[in-house]
Amino acid sequence: LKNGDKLFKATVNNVEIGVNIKSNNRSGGYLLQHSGSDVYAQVLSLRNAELYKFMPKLEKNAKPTELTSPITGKIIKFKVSEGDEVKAGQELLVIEAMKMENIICTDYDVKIKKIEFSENDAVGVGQTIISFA
Amino acid sequence: MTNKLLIANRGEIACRIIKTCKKLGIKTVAVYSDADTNSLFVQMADESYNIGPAPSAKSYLNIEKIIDVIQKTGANLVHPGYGFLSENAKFVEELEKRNIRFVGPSSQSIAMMGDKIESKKIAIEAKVSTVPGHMGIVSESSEAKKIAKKIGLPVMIKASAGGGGKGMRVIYDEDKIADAFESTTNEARNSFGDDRIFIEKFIENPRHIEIQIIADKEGNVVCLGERECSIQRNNQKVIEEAPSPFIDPKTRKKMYDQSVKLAKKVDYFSAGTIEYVVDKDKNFYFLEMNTRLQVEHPVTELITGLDLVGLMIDVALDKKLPFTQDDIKLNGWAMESRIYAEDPARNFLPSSGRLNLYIEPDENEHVRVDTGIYEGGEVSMFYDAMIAKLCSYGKNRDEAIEHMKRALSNYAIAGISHNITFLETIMRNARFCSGEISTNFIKEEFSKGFLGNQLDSQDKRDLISTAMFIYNKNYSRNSRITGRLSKESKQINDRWVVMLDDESYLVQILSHSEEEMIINCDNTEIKIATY
Repeated sequence: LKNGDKLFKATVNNVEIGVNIKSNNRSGGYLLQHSGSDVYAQVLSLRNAELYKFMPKLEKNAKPTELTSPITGKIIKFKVSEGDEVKAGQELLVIEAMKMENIICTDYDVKIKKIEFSENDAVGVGQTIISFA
Repeated sequence: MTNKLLIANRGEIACRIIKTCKKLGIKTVAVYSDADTNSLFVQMADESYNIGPAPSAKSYLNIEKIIDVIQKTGANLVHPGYGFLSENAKFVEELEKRNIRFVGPSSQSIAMMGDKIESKKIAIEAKVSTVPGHMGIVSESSEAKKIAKKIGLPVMIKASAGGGGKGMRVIYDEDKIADAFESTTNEARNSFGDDRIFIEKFIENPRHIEIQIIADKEGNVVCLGERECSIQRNNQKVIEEAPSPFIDPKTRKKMYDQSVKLAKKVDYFSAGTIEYVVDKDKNFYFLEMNTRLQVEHPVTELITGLDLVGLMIDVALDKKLPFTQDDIKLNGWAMESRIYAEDPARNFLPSSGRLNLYIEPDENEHVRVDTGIYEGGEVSMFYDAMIAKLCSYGKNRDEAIEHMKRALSNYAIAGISHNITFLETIMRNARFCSGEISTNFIKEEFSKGFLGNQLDSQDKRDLISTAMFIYNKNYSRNSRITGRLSKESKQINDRWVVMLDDESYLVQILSHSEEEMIINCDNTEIKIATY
């Protein structure tokens, strides 16, 4: 095991395993990928483990304020316009990438505040496409 | 005359073809688009030529440009791979006109099998069993209704030019026929510029099983076993295997006979695949014939020991097949996982970008990797999302699955999303392991999408010991940094808490060295060792 290795190969009770180390914060926090799952593993001293329960938890399902592009591609069509109120599951737009048209839906009930792109624009991962009111 | 082969394709399959050419001493020519300037296959080929901008229509589908390069380089052979121009009769005609050898069948065979309705007619003439349905074009929704009643629900409404899941609809309910007919017609017109529609009986819980054939120009046709490709998502194959866990020698023999009949009917030569749907009573029905090399050909190569690309080149050079049907023995079990650049956690959205990490499992007698990418390379948004194929081989199905699991866990890709976690989950699925699969497998087993595998106690032991081992390693490394108190380097506490997401486990270190660590967790001893 060298410093910075991303693939951890070992035997556990004499069975070969491979674990992907997706990130290592060098202080006991590791994002590991193994047997079909991503797991955040932490090693804590007994005292730290006791105090850990007082740490604030990140809100996982907070309502988003914007839609960022999940893929790099070309915007084919917007299915909504500014001012629309949309329901969870409704289609927002279509992005073409890798020969496929991908329909992007909203997971939440939202109101469209501003659309930052036009149809036929190229868009990259993480760019804000739509901001929600 | 020395042979020179041009590959009218890109990515993984171009690399695969170049490998065989190197073995046979054939010079290779690659053609590439702007987006592929730094791709692996361009580096592997003896010569390479840019044929235009990134969109396929302007490069990989540009017949004129490709023929220019063929003439400029003096290539006498052209291998089309799969996709792109591989089933384009016009391209093959242009080559035939110029006496350039196409590594594939004749333009007539391609044309005869290219259209879904035409090919079904030919199959019926050749006495190949086909899905009950209406022969011919349906133009009115009222007519569609009548036909559906006659063959019995459920039925499938299909666009003649359709494929890849587009232009197909399944109807269980008589009232929905009109709507479905309309939308399929629209979809077909918009996607393929061809709104011809036909209707056939829909087979529930079908398996997708195909027969690989190889034929020479003297009319010898040999079947090379079947492949089961039932694990599909939106009609895109995900996992393939050979042989099929469902086919017995008697059924195989029947499928062989019909496949040979069809191949002879269209004067087929080169490698080809006849796809069948198989129902639960082992009745099989002709679906279509692919007049080209298939993506999943490696599983057939693993169980037959043959090189299909090599055989295709031999046939193109007018050589006779070096074996007969009796020589073909199917040995062991092979499985293929398609590695797609897509994010299973986000409804399989494709992903593109630079690979900042790419580690393949080691290849050996049990593991084969076919890829067109490398660390530092790019996955472009212009082409197919399939970036690699991982094959495993074992004495039987269980062994092949075990080898696949191990190989998948030794695959590391970062920079783009990939479906390895999804593949690992399928390999651990009890229904998959039992072989009771159908083309509905993914839809049924992952009806709520893919949420990650449920870790079992063994997986947890692996992860807890891995985290503890890495922590200990970092700890001892940190203690060697200049200026540390020397005392710290000697001691590591023996009791720790390891958290996996929100679950915590108390761990006691019993012993540890550079390569090995023994811990106790929940009254179980775990030994972890690096090698």
